[in-house]
Amino acid sequence: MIEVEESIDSFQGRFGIVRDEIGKVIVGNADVIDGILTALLAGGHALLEGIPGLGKTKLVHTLADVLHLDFHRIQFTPDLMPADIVGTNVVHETPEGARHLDFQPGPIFANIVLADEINRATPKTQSALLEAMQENSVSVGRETYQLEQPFFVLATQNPLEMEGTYPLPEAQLDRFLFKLKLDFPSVDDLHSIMDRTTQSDEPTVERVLGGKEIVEMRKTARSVPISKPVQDYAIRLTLATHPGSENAVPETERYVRYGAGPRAIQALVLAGKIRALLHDRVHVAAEDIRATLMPALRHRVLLNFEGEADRIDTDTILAAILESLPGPGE
Amino acid sequence: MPDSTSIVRLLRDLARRARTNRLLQELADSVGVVLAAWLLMALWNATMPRQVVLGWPLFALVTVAAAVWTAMRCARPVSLRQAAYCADEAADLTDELTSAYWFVGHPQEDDWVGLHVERAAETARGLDGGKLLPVRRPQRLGVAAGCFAGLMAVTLLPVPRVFENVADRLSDIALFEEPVDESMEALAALQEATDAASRADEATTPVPDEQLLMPQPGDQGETAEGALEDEGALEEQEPGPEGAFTEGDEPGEEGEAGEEGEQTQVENPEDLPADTEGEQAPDPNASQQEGQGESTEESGTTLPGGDEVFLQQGTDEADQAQLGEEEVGHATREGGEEQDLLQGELGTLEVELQREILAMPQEEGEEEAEEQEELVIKAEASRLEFQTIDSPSEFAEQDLLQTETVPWNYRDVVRSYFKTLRERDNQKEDEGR
Repeated sequence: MIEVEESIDSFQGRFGIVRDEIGKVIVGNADVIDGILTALLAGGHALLEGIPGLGKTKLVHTLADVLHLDFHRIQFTPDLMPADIVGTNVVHETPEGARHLDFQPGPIFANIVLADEINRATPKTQSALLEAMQENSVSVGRETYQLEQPFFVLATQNPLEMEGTYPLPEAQLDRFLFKLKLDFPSVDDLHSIMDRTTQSDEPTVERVLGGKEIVEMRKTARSVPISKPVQDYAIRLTLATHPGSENAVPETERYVRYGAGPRAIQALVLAGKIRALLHDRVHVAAEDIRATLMPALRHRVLLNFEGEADRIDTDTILAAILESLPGPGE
Repeated sequence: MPDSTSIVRLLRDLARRARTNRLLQELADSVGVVLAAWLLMALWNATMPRQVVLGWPLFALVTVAAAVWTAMRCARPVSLRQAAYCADEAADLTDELTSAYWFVGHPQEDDWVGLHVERAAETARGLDGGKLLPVRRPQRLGVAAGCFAGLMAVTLLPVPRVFENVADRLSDIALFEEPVDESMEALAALQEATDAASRADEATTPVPDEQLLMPQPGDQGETAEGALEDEGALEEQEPGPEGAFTEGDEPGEEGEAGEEGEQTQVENPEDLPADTEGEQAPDPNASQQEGQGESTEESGTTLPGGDEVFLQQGTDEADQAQLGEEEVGHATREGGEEQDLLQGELGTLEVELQREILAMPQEEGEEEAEEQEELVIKAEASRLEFQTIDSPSEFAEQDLLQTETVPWNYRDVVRSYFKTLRERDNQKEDEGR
């Protein structure tokens, strides 16, 4: 048990160090920073959404600087091809004149991959990330290449209503553990941003965490026990996003076409475990599930025509579910 | 003490307290209901002139029902899981006891679970069940106490019988019941008379067409219409085809017809007064017409062709019950003064009564027809409402909702289009109403 308590303390300490280090550069958006770190430690991927200029790319760059990890950036454009992401076989000629095919790895072979403006590429190119994000492997020709752990994809996208964007396929969206929305900074935050970025000395960060520690923290997070009533609560919350289900709320019946799948429950439970550790608990509470419901399910709930026409936000539906569904002990 | 024991002990204590609170609450509610019923009955008995019939059996029934309800509610146990939830909520433990209790029931060989149960046991040891879930005063105990106080006041203090005169008022009101019944009978009689009048209308309507065969049909038409419309005119003029015929421009024929009338009256001079006085006036007329049948046929032979037809028509109408009474009066007037004296009084009285009756139902019949027409219109409106609900635009919109083939930028346009369709349908529906 002492080891358990030590691992908990270590987890909390490392998480706090990374958060503080990122906070040196990124102003505000503490929830987004916690969400990105939670997705990283849960073994998932994160999708950042916000209008241009809110610091999405800067946030990911800062995270890569804080961690001792390989970092690649892919700028998604409409003419980007899948081979530009995963790599391709190229012909190599030896000094003796012999020719052979060598695999030239793409930018996806890294620990942290920034898929910048992912919704500017075509769905075909977006889907090149599917296998890598789910299986942690890349198949090129007849060969399958394993990706080094930790492998973490951070994608940024502009709101769908903007010009020149392609909506992400549902299967692609489902592979993101969290979808985090960056809000416009407040006046105080804007003052801080100006102070930090318009002076001669810009803030710098140190590398405080390596890949080995991150893998260790992932194991620690998965060890947190969750009782059946709380897990049942997470399942009921997810099922409530399905129209026609027993727990569906009126908003679900009216505006939702498809609800969240089992990956959503996995995201809720894993994120709940990390949140429980951060709050110095060794059990997952319903409060942890509720806190992670929005980022874990908002991109997995597909609206129907009426919901799209009425411009219903999925957060509204999830809030209604949270309000109506009884807790694990009720 | 093992960790699991500490948790379970606390939860049992909390469950017992929760059950006690529930028992007190249910008892207070039941006692309140019983006392309220008792108070109502006592108030009634104290203030009303008559006591409640089956009051005590009803009170016993309410008491038994409340007792059964309380027993059923209290028999339901409070589970330890519910107690854990109550403790988590009361002490803001973020589901620690709920989760730990589940792991106590499902033990696992895991350091993390052991640490969790150990922490929960420490928390449980630090909690006081009495402070966490104290025995509370029932919320609705005040209602029961108020009912009890009221019951004591009604029982011990003199209560004025303020509703003593209610029975007298009720008996006064009951006096109106009998006239109402009589008026209903009168209305029924009027209804019968209306039916008879309608039959008379059916019999008289073809007259103007056939009067074209008469030398001066205009006079006859006026008298026929006057017989139906004006009561005073009916008394002065002869209604129906017989009157028109007898007052026609052919005195010879009129004389013959009058003689026929005389003959018919003379043939059955004794039956008519007795029959016409009775309620079934048509019967003597019918018998009169039966007796008169041969004479009318004979008169038909003496008249010209058109007159014969008209006379035959009058003979057919004589089969109608109500008109037969009128014919009696006409015949007596036209027959002679002696016959007027003997039978005219009866016939006139009968005719006047009959005309009073006939005049009213025609107006009421029109009102009833209007009411029925309104009912029919309302019924039509309700059917129209169903038709407008199933608007085809909604089906089209449903199809679009399912298929989603509309481009992204045009969805608002499509939506506004269907909204406009619905508004137009609603306007049509309102106009239809």
